[in-house]
Amino acid sequence: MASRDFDPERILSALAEEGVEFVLIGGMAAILHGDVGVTVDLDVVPNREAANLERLARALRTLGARIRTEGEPEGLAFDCSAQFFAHLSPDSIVNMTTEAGDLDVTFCPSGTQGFRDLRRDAVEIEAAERLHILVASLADIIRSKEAAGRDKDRLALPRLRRLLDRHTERK
Amino acid sequence: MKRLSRCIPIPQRQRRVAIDSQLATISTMSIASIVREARRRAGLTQAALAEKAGVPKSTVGRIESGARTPSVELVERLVEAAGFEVTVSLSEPDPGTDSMFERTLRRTPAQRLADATRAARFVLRGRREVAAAADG
Repeated sequence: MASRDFDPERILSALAEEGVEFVLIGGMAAILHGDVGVTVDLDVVPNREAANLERLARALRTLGARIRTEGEPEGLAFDCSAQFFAHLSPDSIVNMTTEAGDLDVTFCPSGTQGFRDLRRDAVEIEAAERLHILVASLADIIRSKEAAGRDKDRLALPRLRRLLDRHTERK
Repeated sequence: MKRLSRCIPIPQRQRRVAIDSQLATISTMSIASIVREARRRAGLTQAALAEKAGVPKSTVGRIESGARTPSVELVERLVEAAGFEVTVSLSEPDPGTDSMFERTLRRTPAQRLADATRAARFVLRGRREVAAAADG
């Protein structure tokens, strides 16, 4: 693997260049809304349609995606194909490591109904020059973290709710 | 029981389990986390906590899984059975967080992504150094 430096712009660009339909969620999505947290991976929710899974698999192959697992810093090779993703249950989370850092793909994040549900209120954000992506609404990010209920989510929730208040005040 | 707790006071910071200060936004999962955290910190199984609190084991399981929204009284009963107490408070938003939001909200999303990338790399570098030191 050429480089392990976290480069979220490269990951998002690879997805965008292949035309993958996805919504960014999780910590990085919150940061793009103005949160002050720190995250070391990306969480994306792709559209599950067959053609999109083909595009997703292609993008992931260009990123050298491998399954992330403890004790294997380079990750484990897997069948990075549309079929692989199509056969996953809707609530599966695929934790991967790529040449540009860690990436989690999930089709139905906790507390949500997946891509279509999140796309409804998602906002298009220019995350870098000529890189436009769909980012889950802050309310949906909060909804998902509330449902996930992990310690790190619980710690972030008061801050994210305050940020949501700030967004509301600014409108 | 009350007398015992007065005779052998548990330090406040160990006993308190804070509920999120934003009372209006307390969720089922937040309650679930509080009950679970109190139980785990006490080293109790769901069955042991249920027995101490005098409730069916399924009640603890349903609350912890978020399937049941308990009354405040029941949360207090469970948390106290684990040796903690529930405190609920309202507080003003942290001005430190607000001033950080002021700064980030003035930046463009692209700038925020660049900032976040730098912060993540710093954290990851630290983790690698710690791991390398641990390996000898």
